[in-house]
Amino acid sequence: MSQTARFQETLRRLAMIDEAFVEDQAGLRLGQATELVLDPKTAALLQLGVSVAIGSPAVCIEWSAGRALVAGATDDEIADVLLAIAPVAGLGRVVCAAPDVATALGYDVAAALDDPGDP
Amino acid sequence: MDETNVLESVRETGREGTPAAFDLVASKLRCPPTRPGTVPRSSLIDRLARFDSGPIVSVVAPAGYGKTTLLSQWAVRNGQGFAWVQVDERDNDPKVLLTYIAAALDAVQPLGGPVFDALASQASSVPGSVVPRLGSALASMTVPAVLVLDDVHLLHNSECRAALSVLADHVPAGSRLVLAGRAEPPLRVARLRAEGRITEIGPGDLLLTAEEATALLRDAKVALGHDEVAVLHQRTEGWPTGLYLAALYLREGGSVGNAAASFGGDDRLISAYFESEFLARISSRDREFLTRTAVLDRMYGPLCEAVLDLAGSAATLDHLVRSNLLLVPLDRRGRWHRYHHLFRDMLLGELHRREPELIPVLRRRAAGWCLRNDLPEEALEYSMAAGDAETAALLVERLVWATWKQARVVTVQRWLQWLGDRGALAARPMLLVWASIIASQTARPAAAERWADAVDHWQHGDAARPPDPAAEAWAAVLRAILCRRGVKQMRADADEAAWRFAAAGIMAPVTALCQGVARVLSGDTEAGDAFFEDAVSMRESGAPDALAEALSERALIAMARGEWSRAEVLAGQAGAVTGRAGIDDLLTTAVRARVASHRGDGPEARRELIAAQRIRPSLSYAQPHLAVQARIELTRAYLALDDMAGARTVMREIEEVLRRRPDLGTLVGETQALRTRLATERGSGGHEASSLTTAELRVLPMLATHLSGPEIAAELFLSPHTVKSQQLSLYRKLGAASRSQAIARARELGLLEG
Repeated sequence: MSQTARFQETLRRLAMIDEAFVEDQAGLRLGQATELVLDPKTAALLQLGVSVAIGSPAVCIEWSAGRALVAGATDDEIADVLLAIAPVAGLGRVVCAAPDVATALGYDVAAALDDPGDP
Repeated sequence: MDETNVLESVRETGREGTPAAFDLVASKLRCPPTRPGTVPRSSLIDRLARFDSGPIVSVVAPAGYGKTTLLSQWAVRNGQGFAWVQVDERDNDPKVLLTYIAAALDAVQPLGGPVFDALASQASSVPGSVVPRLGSALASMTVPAVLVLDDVHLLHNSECRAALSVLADHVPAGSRLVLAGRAEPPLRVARLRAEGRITEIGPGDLLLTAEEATALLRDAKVALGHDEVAVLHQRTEGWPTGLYLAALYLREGGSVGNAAASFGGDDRLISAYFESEFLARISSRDREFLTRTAVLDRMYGPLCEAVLDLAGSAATLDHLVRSNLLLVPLDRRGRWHRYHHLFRDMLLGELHRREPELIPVLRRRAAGWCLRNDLPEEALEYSMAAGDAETAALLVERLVWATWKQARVVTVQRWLQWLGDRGALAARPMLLVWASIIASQTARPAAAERWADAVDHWQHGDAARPPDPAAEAWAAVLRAILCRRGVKQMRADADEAAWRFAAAGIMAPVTALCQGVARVLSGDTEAGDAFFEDAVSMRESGAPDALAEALSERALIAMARGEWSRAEVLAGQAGAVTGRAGIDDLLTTAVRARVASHRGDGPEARRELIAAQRIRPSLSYAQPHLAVQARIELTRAYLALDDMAGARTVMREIEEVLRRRPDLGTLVGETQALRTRLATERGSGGHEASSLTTAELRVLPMLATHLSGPEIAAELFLSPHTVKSQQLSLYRKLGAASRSQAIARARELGLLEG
């Protein structure tokens, strides 16, 4: 087995958003602030909405949506985030993010659009 | 029957105790005998047997290069420790292929029960359970073994191919895995090469040297001068089959010049020779014998007589066996033979050209003979090859239950698919029911629904159809299991199944089980428990999965009544049943997780929850009550461990089932209560690995194979993008930054066996 060089390890762990690594090495605190009045689910949904609005890459959107699920958001609530931010974020952003959000929900949009048996 | 029984089981050949789920064809596990006078390939064998050569050997060359001959010579020289599997088309069912591999290895050194338990279970996952167990059994073998898989190019099933790449990583020091075939084996060859773990033998290595060519011609009693041998060797480029045929040709009086022109390193030339020389020169009777019997996978005198409808054919076979090299013996008693692959292809080609209309007739005759001689599965394969859907349907009806019980799931699916494609199932209600039940138990819910619709159509589409009590009873069981029209209808279907079975005098625990579940879902727990008790009392006539389920249902009722010690006993009994039978049952696992968490045994509850993660993908909305019941208990167990991530992940799966099957009676209320409780929980803690979704859990075992992301996507009918993102998510949840780290971590956690 070949050894992974440090730069390779860094890039890999960033590319997949390895939370512990990002917190320790990049100094980004990913956990939610405990003193928030907002409940964790609402905070997670907001984070997802902002990720979409600023045009974050697919992996960030999938990660944010995954965190919202773990915080107790339902699939419908997560999809609604896209509708809610569309007027301010613009159609392009939400359309672009839709397949990635779907992926996080375990729904393969590309395969579903292609499935002849899907009602 | 003894004389005609080709399907001698392994037990009959003296390998007692190999607990294979089905009878193995003994000749597939036997190294083919080397023909007297074959040129010894000593230097190549030296290279293969060298202590420092890699654990993996690939022998890749077109037909006629002597791959099998080389390996059988090696086996003869080695004496002990050779595990041989002759691969054929029917091994494209992972449980079949891996059973043969396990049996072959077991003969070298016993592998232990868990491998065969996993192989014998329809429910066990091939990449998740069977392959890891076989891999670790192989890795812990202390007797050096050479496992040979010959004709590995015939494997096109991706699970089979993936299994080989995993096994290649488990070959212990001193042992070898040898894959021989016409195309590159399904391994990560580039990586193995870089690691120096593979010895590759290609066509160039298999060519005969000038000395070996001289020896071959001498052994064939062809007297040639040195120069003539040199010309022949040069023209054939040392191609073993070319030289063999040249020897035969010369022995029959041909000239060296013609031989050199005809047999030069290219099987197209051989083919031309075959047509213009060989077949033209033999008697028409011999020609007919050769081309017509080429439809047979295996040949035996009486079978040849039946197929040709010609007395004396057995004698022709004997004559051929003695006089030429086209036949390969399959058993020690010299009764069964097959053509060398290269020649069979050519003979079949000739038959297609000359008498194409005869091919289905010959195959039907072969099917008829096999049927008369108690070889129904061979008969089925010949019927399918003949395109005889009607006979095939009859035979599948006869074989489907036993084959399914033997865990040959892919084989059964192939048969049903073949019949379905030819419209031969519509009038066969029992097969439709089977197709639906099998699809429901193999997590193909859409297919289960499609077949169930076909059953409904059969039952209600034609008022004038003849009655079929057995199919009507099973159709009712199917409707109850799928529960597509709500609990009230489920109850009616289960009761209908019960009286229909009773009318036929059949004891079927599955009906009592369905009746019990329908009662519980209707809120009538007392009546439900009575039915489950009935189902348990029929333990002798029931399948272990039904028994475990009935015991688990009883444990759930005991829990609901607060009778935890009783629940513990029942859960223990259910676990003992699944353990003995080597099956995985989600409901049993969930119930065991619950009783463990209730008695405060966190580690045990956690182990059961991890076991449940391995099985969860197999239980879909095709068995909605089971899928939801088990997941409700899993959610409760996660909550008891304060694992919100796990609880919410499983809860989402419950919502998904309820979206499709909203009327599940009391389970709807139980889900609502859980939903409310989860909504009030603000935390999002828990094990990262608990939040692995079913989709991610399905991808996980495939990461342990050589399959690339896009190949995994194709296998799961997903887009490559989805698989890639699931892969990243898996890595993140497992704290891994590479595929191998993810696999190692999953093994450590118990999410993957091995």
